[in-house]
Amino acid sequence: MPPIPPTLREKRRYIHFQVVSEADASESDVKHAAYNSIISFLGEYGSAKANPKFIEYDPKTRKGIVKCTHTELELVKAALALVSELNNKPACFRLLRVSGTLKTIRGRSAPRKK
Amino acid sequence: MSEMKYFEASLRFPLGEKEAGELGFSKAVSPIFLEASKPSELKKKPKKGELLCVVSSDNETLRQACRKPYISFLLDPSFSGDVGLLKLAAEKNKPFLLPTSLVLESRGMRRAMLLSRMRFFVHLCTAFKTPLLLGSGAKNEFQLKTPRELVAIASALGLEHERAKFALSEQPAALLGEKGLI
Repeated sequence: MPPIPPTLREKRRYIHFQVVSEADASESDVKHAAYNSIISFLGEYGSAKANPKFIEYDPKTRKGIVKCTHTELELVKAALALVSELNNKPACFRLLRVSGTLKTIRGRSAPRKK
Repeated sequence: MSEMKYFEASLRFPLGEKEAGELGFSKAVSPIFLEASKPSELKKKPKKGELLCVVSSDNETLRQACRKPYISFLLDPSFSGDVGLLKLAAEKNKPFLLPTSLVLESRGMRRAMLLSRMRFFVHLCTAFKTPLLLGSGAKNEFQLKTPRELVAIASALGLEHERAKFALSEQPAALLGEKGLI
């Protein structure tokens, strides 16, 4: 099958976030919290348009990455910002930066320069 | 976004001022939230350098609050969207607060209804040019949101990106400037 031309591919954005919580959280806990928040905020139809995908989470640094389509970026950011609990304990997701490539996010662990 | 200065004027816990500074706000303050159910309860005046926010679901109380110069901004937790009130607030340049903590504290259908009311309220405020003030209204560190997160939530409520940034930078800057806090 020939590859899809770049102009026809879905444009994606990677959201780098950090979990702030009193309790430790595993990758699956964070994944469930992110997906539950997206599905409850955007619904099934909105989630299908946003096409979210949990890429990775590092429990040591508490940082992770979620992918979505570029058209629904603001809504996915809002959905992640509305996470308020993790394992029944108060928690929140701090959005660190957004990028079009994974390489940029993985290459920069420091926050963006002001 | 990093060139603009953002201000948080709706904190509900004093220690949040330092934490908000770490999240990218130039200045964060905890105003006095005066909960009033009738106009006669609006007599409390703020001290010098304090912001006063009137919290009420009663439209007549909010109308009276619009006319009082010592009241900095208003919060209608029911987001009823009374047209006369919104026009008066636009005329008197009294901003309405949009706190994200109300959304965080609700769940399920209750959150959906609240978001619906907030969306319609934002729509009316845009139509009547009523000033809006974005804030987290945080009661603890977990409810504190960064400027980017607040702009994203405001965008989901139907506020244009530029207007959301204005509601987070120049609008609170004017309020803090009036009180000599910046």
